[in-house]
Amino acid sequence: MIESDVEIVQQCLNGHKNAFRFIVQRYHKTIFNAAFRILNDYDDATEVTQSVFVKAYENLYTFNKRYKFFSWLYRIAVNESLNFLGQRKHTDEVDESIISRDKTPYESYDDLEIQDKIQNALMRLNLDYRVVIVLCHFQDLSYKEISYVLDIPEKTVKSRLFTARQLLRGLLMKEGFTI
Amino acid sequence: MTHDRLIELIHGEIDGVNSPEESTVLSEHLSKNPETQKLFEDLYSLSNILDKTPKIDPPKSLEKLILNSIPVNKLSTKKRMEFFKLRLRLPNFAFQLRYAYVFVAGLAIGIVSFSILYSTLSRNRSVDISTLYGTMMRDTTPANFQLADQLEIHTSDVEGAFTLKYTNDAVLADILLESTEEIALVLEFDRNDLDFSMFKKVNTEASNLAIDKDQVKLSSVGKNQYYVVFNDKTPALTQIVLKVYKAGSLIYEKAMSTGKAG
Repeated sequence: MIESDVEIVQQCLNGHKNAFRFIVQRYHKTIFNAAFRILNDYDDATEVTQSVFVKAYENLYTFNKRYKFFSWLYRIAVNESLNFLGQRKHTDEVDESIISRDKTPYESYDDLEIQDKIQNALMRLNLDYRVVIVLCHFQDLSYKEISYVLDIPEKTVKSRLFTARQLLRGLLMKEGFTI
Repeated sequence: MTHDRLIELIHGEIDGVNSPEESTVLSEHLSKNPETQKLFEDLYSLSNILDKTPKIDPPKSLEKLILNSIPVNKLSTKKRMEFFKLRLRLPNFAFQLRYAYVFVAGLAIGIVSFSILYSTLSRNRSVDISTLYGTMMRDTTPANFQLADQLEIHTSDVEGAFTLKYTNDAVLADILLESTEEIALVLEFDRNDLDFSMFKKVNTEASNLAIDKDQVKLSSVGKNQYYVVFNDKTPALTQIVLKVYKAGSLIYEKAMSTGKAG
């Protein structure tokens, strides 16, 4: 029987700390992808993902069951990613080595080029806009969930998302990309 | 239909949150406006591309790395202390509460003293630009600036206008603000694309200008006009985000793009 996140958290808080490994199994890939899209670096995303789960484990007692666990986890992931960015140099270039030609479901060079252009354009966005694009489109969160993760009003989420999409469109068109 | 409402409907349609009535209103508007129809189709297509972007596979060892980082199996503090006492044959000191009070009091005094000393010695980064002249001031706007973007601000706390102009190597922000209470204006930019160059204000009020590596901040009350000039380091499009705060709360935010000659 698959246990819910809240049930697993409760087990951890009751002293069965090994149960946390189920949380790690469930979310480590998703958190890694979120971190990667924000940081645009494979190794940095790996490092941040580790620190996210350590932070989550150490602060499990602060989790409020009123909210979804994965939203709470994303909040930690975004904060850790932003803190990490603040401590390192910014880079605009996509590390092409991490877009594995063996693993992607897209076999054509055109598809890979599209992904490169999108990631490049994403990295040119202001951080606030990049994060909402990542949470909405790459993590499939709703306006309300993004509002909780970023601790901003839902109205601001919509405003940033709308602006981010239009900016992204402008950046891609400027690069000669046909949408 | 206002522009803001139209944008809201477009993005609502993309996100699937519009009511049937809203979808109908949008559809009717788009059918009469080919440019807006194109914008909608582009944004819809872009959203689909973003949604279908494949996931990046993390390192195969990531799960193990995470689990090894988490102190799931480490001894509790009490057990660790017992372990060390046993190994080092440490005597059991009787716990004297009064010594604990003295220690905490001394620590608190030390922290407070350090905080007072630090705040006295730390430098204030705010600069009242009205006292600076010479190379920091420009009397006229160079004639070859082209218009990149402009907007008007209308909120209950602040009114104003923001105009962005550009040349091949400079960006000029022309800011007009009017407020009855003090507000803070922040211009955020990518320091890889832009560098702060100079500042001018057309009023005598103090502005408490502060410059960080990727932000220009100033405070404003009453009716004021400011010019901020940036060195533009990139040939590509870049953006400046305008944020307005009142009493620490964000009350307005807008991103603007610098234009470039084609």
